[in-house]
Amino acid sequence: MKYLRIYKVFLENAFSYETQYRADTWLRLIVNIIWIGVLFALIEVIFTHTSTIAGWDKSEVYLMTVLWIIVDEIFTMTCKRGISMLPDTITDGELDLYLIKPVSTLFLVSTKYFLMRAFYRLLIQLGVLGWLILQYDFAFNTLRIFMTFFMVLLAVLLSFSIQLILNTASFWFERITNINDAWDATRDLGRYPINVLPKTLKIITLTAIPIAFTAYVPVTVLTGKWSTLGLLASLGITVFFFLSAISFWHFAIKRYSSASS
Amino acid sequence: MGKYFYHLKLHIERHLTYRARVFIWVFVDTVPVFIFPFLWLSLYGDATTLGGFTRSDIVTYYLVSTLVWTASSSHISRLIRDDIMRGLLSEFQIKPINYLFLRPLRELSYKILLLIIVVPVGILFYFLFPEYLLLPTAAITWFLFFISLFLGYLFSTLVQMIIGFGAFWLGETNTGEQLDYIVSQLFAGRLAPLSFLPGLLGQAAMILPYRFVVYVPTQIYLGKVSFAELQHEYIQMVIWILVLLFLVLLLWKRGLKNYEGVGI
Repeated sequence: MKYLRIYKVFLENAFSYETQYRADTWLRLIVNIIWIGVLFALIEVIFTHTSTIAGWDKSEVYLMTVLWIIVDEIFTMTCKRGISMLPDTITDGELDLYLIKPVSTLFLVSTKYFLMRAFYRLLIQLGVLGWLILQYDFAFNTLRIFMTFFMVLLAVLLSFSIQLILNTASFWFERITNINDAWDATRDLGRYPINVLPKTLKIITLTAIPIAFTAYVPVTVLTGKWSTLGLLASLGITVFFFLSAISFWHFAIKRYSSASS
Repeated sequence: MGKYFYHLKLHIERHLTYRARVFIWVFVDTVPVFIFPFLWLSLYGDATTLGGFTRSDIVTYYLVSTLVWTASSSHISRLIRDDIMRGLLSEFQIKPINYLFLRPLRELSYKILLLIIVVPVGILFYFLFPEYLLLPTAAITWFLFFISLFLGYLFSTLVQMIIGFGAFWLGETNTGEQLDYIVSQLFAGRLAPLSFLPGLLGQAAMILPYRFVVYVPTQIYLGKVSFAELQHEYIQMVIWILVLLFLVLLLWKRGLKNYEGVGI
């Protein structure tokens, strides 16, 4: 209950912050729509030269792009900002203020900043997803939709875990805020079917750098191309990365000595 | 000139102090190489060309365009925005150094280190996969390529300065930076060669000046630009640069009148 009350305060703060910068919020929504337009334009460019990419047709690639955006948006909305600010939080000594609080430091770092503008963008993106489903004749069933929703949540958890691992490295490496740009750039590759990659790179995207789970795997589940064994493997990899991230965090906190405050 | 060279040296030393940052930025700029060549190669099937590009051409295009992007793209708008919003500009105003050269110098220091890292990797790649990295044989091509690279860098720097100076009036310019980045990804030719863009998109790409940052230098490298087209492109580049330079000076002069030196 304590954590729910604290999270409620964070949500109220987030909403209050957003109301102060309404013009900026609207501008960012417009930029987001333009960005989706550019991604869709690229898909159209690719499909003027082919009817399929490694067995994936245009509708499936569109679906992959939109699901990828939705996974990223959910993560951005809930905890990306807090995690991304960890290097500066450590270097500026602000982490000390979190450590002395009688709640989980990781909870505070991860959830302090809820981005309302990301929530508004998510609503637009869900609308785009709805339009896409109406536009194309996808043969979905209830079970696959439910499993895909579960895979999307796993993808968000995976994004959280990987970004936490990367940012926890800032306990040792100073000023590596751009590590988040590196992960974002790597994640970008997950918008495309990994079947186009050579075998070694494909395995890497399913294991060590699991960007395939951000969109490719959820879409394969939705379109019935992913096996039950694959679903279990996805769960296993997500749990592995999550537990590794938490362990690494605790390892770092035990060895932390304040930089300044 | 001595004080500018000293600042350049200071920035290089700073980058070397935080080496991890430099390597991460190199990785960020080169990531598209890990997917786009494979994506386009998968579309060839039995065909030898696609949109006028052979398999070697398309791989070389992405390798060279990535190198060109890292060399010619500028990211100083956020630095300028922070200087204005945090009141740090005041500190630079009292120093005997022109601020309009200062931030580009920091970017240049990063480019120097970048090239030290990327060029050896490029040479290694050439020896490992010579069929996939074409090298121009004519010295004139290399000369024209480096000229276009420099002009592309100038263009990118001036655009970034205009966006950064928007902070004099708007405060937060993050949205402008994002918009510039998003539009340049498509219309600079980073995501796909501009000749692949169909209809209105292709026409827009040829009108907008973003092609000077990546597409034009890459096409010069690949030898896909005739002498007449090259003259036309260079003239347009120079005109755009002069127009942007005028805007930069105008915004700088007007912005300073608006500047209050208050930190956030």
